[in-house]
Amino acid sequence: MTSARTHRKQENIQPGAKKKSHEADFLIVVLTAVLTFFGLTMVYSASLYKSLSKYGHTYHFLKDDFIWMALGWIILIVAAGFPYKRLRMFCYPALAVGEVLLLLIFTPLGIEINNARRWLYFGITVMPGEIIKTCLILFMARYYSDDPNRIKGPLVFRRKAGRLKAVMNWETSRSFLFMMAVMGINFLLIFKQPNLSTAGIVVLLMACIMYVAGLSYLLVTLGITAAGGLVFITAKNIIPLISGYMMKRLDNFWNPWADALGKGFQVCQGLLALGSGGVFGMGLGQSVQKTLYLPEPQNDFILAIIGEELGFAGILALLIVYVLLIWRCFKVAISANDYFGMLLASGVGIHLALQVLLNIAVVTASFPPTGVVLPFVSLGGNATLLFFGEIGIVLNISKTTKQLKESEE
Amino acid sequence: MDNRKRLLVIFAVFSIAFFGLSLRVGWHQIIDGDELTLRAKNQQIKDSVVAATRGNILDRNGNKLAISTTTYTLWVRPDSVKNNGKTDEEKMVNAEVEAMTLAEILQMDYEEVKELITSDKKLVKVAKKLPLDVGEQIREANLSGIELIETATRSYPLNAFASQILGTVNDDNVGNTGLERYYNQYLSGQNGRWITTKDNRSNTLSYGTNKYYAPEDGYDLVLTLDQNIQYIVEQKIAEGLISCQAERVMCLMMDPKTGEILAMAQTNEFDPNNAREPMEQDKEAFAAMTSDEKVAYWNRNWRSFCISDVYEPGSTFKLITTSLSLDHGATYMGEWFYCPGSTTVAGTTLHCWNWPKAHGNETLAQAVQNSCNVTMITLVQRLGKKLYYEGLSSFGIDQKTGVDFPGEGSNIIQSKDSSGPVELATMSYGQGIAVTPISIATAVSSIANEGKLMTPHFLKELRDSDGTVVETYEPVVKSVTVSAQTASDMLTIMESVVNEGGAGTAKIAGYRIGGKTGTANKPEAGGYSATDLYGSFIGVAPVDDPQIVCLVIVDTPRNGKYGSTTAAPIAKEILNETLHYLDIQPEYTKEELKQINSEKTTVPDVVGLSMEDAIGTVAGKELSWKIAPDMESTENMVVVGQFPQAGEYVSKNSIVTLYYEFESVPVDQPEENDETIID
Repeated sequence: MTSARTHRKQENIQPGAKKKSHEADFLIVVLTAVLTFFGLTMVYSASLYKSLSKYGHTYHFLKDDFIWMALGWIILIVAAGFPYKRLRMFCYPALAVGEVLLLLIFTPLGIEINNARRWLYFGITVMPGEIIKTCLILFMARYYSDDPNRIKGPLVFRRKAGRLKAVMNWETSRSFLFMMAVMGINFLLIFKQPNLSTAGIVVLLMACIMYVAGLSYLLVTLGITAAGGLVFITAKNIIPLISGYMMKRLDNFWNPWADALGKGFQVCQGLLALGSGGVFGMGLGQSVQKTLYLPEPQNDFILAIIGEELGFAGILALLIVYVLLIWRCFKVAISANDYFGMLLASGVGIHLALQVLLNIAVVTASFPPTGVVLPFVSLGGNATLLFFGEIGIVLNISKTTKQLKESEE
Repeated sequence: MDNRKRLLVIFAVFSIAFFGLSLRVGWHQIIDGDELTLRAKNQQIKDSVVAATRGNILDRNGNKLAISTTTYTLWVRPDSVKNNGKTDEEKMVNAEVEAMTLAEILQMDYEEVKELITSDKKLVKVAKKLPLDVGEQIREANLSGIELIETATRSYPLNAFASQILGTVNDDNVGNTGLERYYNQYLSGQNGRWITTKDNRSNTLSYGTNKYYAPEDGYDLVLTLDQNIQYIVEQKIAEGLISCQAERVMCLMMDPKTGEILAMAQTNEFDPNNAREPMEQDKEAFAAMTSDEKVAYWNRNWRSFCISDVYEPGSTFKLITTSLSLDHGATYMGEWFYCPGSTTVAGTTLHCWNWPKAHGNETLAQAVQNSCNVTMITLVQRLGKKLYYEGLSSFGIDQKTGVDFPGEGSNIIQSKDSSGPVELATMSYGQGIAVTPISIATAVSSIANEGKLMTPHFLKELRDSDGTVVETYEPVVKSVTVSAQTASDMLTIMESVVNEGGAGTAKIAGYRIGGKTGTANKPEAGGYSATDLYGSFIGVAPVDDPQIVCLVIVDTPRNGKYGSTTAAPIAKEILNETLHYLDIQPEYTKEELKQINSEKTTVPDVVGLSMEDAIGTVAGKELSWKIAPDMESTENMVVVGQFPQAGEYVSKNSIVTLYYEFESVPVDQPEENDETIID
C-alpha cells in the first residue's frame, strides 16, 4: 500500500500548487485539436459522395465522426482530470478484461467478416485487438514501475573486482519469462483471428516499452535477431501451410497491380489517388477517387484522399503534426516525475507512432492492407476513443511534470 | 535517467521511419505521379459520343419520308438477374419472374428471354428500337440488372413506301442501302463528344473535366420525288401486278426537262423500319424458305431494279435508232419504206416479227407504229456503225447515267470493235442489248427535252437543321443527243404510235401521249426463255410540253404477253392520275369530244395486225376486246378477222372479237441470234 499512500500525499499537495501550475501540456491539446478538426474536415470531404449515393445526404459519416470525436474529447477531458497515479489499481484488472475480450472472440459473440473474427458485438461493435493495446500499456507501466528490476532479464551483470560478471537471477528470469509469456499469448490470440498486423503491432509495442524500461542491449540484440529470423522463416515456409488468407495478403502487397481488380483493388485505388494529387493536390473536395472508386475512403485509406486533395505538401504537414505530438508525449515521459508516468507516456507515444507508421505503410503499398486507422483523422471508432483516453492520461501526467519542475525551482 | 536516452533512441528510430515513409509517399505522388494520374484518368474519364441527329429525308413538297426518333435499347446484366434474392430458390424464382415480365412486355418468347438474361455473358442486348412507352413500362417494372439506353433510331413513317429509294441504315445509324447510303455523309452529320469525369458507376461528377463538343446535325435531304406521284405509281403497279398476274411490275417517272426522278417503284418491296421482316403477303412463302432463299429474297427486295438491273429493251429501243437516223439525215419524216417481211444482212436472214407475212409499204411513222424490224435495219445500215455508236454514246447508252444512287448497273452492249453488220442490225430493234431502266428512261427523256440529255437525280436540295438551304442541285445537261427539230419529229411519231399504232392501250382522252411498247423474252441460262418475258412501255406526256417520261416494265406477265396489253394499260392509269394531279388540263380534239359526248365509237380495222397491235388499236377507240378462241400462247398471233366489222358505229366498251392465226416462229432464225424475240 506504499504507493497508495504516496499518491494520497501528492494529492494533498495539489491544492496549494494549483494556482501556479496545474496547466497541462498545451501543445498536446492544440495538436490533438488540430488533428480532430482536420479529421472531421477530411472525413466529410472523403465520405460526402459515398454518403450522398448511399443515404441521399452528404453528412452521414460526418455525423458519426462528430459523435465519436465529441465522445473522444469527453474521455480526453475526464482522463486528463483523473490523477494518473490512481490508474495503478486499474492496470492489472484492465489486462484481465482485455484478455477476456480477446478470448470472447472465439465464442459466438465474435463476428466473422471476410474469414476473420476480429469483432465482438454487444449492441455496439468492439475490437478487442485495439483495446488490448491500451491495456498492455497500462499493465506494463505498472508491472515495471512496481519493481524496475523486473526488466533485467535472466542474466544480471555485476561489477566484481573491476570485472563484469554475468549472474543468473531467478527472480528477474521469472519476470522476464512472464512478460514473454504475456507477449506470446497475446500474439497467438490475435494471430488466430487472424490479424497478423495487429499481432505484430502488439509485439512491437511491448518490445518498445520493454526497451524503454531498460531491457539490456544483449536481449535487445537477441530479440531483434530472433524476430527477424522468425519473420523470415514463417514468411518462407510456415505461413503458406497454416493460413492461406495471410499468404494472400502477403503476396499481393509487393505488387498490388498484379491483381488490381481483385486483391490489390483498394491499394491500387489508393495509389491512384495519391498519384493524382501530386505536390499540391487537386484542392479540398476535388478528389475523384472518393467517388466510389476507393470503397471506404473515410476509413483506413483516408490518407490517400488527403494526398489526392492536398498533395504531398498536405501529407507532409500532417506527418509533422503527428511527429510533434509523438515528440510531445515522449517529452512528457522524459520529464515525468515517476517511473509509472514515464512508462505510461512512453507507451502512448510509441502506440501512436506505430499506428500512424503502419497506416502510411499500408496506403503506400509498403505493407499488406490491414485494418489500421489513422489516429484522430480516420472516421472514429473504438481505437479513436482509446487514443483520446491515452492522450488524456498523458495530459494528466504533464500536469505533474510541471509541478515537479516548478517545485524544484 | 538511462530511460531518457532510450526514449531519444526510439524517437530517432521513429523519425527515420517517418522520413522513409515520407519518401515513399513522395515517390508515389511526384515521381510516379504522372503515370498514376494517367491510370486514374483512364478509369475516371468518360468520353461519350453525343450523337448528331441524322437528317430527315423529305419529298419535294416537304413531306417526311425518313425521320430520326429516339428509342430504347434494352441491355440486361445476367449476373444481377441470377443473384436477385437470398436463397438459391428465391434467386431462381426471381429470375423466372423477371424473364416472364420481360417476355410479356416485349412480346417475346419466354424461353428465349430466359436464356438471354441468364446467360454467362456480362451484358446482353435483349431488344432494340423499343418505343418510349415500352421503355417506361420496363423501367416501372423495377427489374434487376436492367439498363435502358436511349438510341437515335431511323424511322420511316410511311413504312414500305419508296423503300428502295430511301434504303436502310444499320444499327449504328449508318446508311446501308439506297439514298441513306449515297448521301450518308450529308445525312449523318458530325458526332459530338462529351468528356467528363465520372464516378465508379459512370455518373458524371459536377466537378473535374467537363468538355463538350457539340454535334453537328446532319442535313435534311429534299428529294425530287413527289410523294403523291410515288403513291399513284405504287398503287397502280400493285393493281397492275394482279391484273397481269405478273411476277413484278416496275415503274420509273422522270421530269424530262431536268432529269428529276419523280417516282420510282417496284412491286416487290420491304419495310425499311425492319428490313428483314417479309411483307405481309410474302410471310407464308418466307417461312418456308431456306436461309439461302431468304437471303436471295431480301436482296431482290432491297435491290432497285430500275437502277441496278438490266433488261432487254426490245422495240422501245427503236425510238433511239429512228431519232438518230432522222438527226443524221439518214431518213426524213414521211419517207416511204417497203417491208418484204425479211432481209438478208451479211448472209444472215433477219425477219420481221410477222414473217412470213410482211408490212409492205409504210411511212417512217408507220414503220415505228408497226414496230418494223426491216425498216430499222435499213436505217442503221444507212447510218453506219460509226455514227450509230456515236449516237448511242450521246444518248448515254454506253455508260452509266451517273444517277445519285448507289449500285447503278452497267448497260450491256456489243462493243463497237466486235460488232459486225448482223449485231448492228439486231441492236437497231433492241435485241442483243441490255440496258438499265434508268438509262433508257434518261435517253428517251432527251427526246422529250429538245435533244438535251440530263443527268437523272434524286436530290433537289440539302437543308441544314434550321431549314436553311445549303446546297441546291442544278440540273446538268450531259450531252446533246439530237436536234430540237428531230426531237419534235420523234414526239410526233411517238404520239402516232399511241393514237394509231400498237400503244393505243395507253391513250388518254384529252391528253397528248407519245410512247412505244416493247416486249422481250427474258434471258435464261443458255438463251432466252420461251415463256417468260418483259413487257414494257415508255411514254411521254403531254407531247406538246413534256412534263413526264414514264417507263413501266412488267416482269413475266401470265395474263397478256405484250407491252401493249401489260405495261401500257398500267402506264395509262398512272399518267391519267398524274396529269390530273399536276393540274394539266385535258384538251380534247374534235373527234375525242364527239367520242366523249356520244355513247358510240367507230370500230377500227385491225385485220392483218399482230394481236398486240390490234388490241392497242381497239383499246384506243375505247372498245373492249376478246380473243377467240381464248388461249394463252407465246406464238405470234395475227388477226385474221374481227367482229363487228371495221367502220361500224357501236357503243363504247362494246366487245370486239378478234380471230387469229398463229404465225409460227421462223425456223431459220439466225444462229448467232437464236433468241425468240417477238414483237
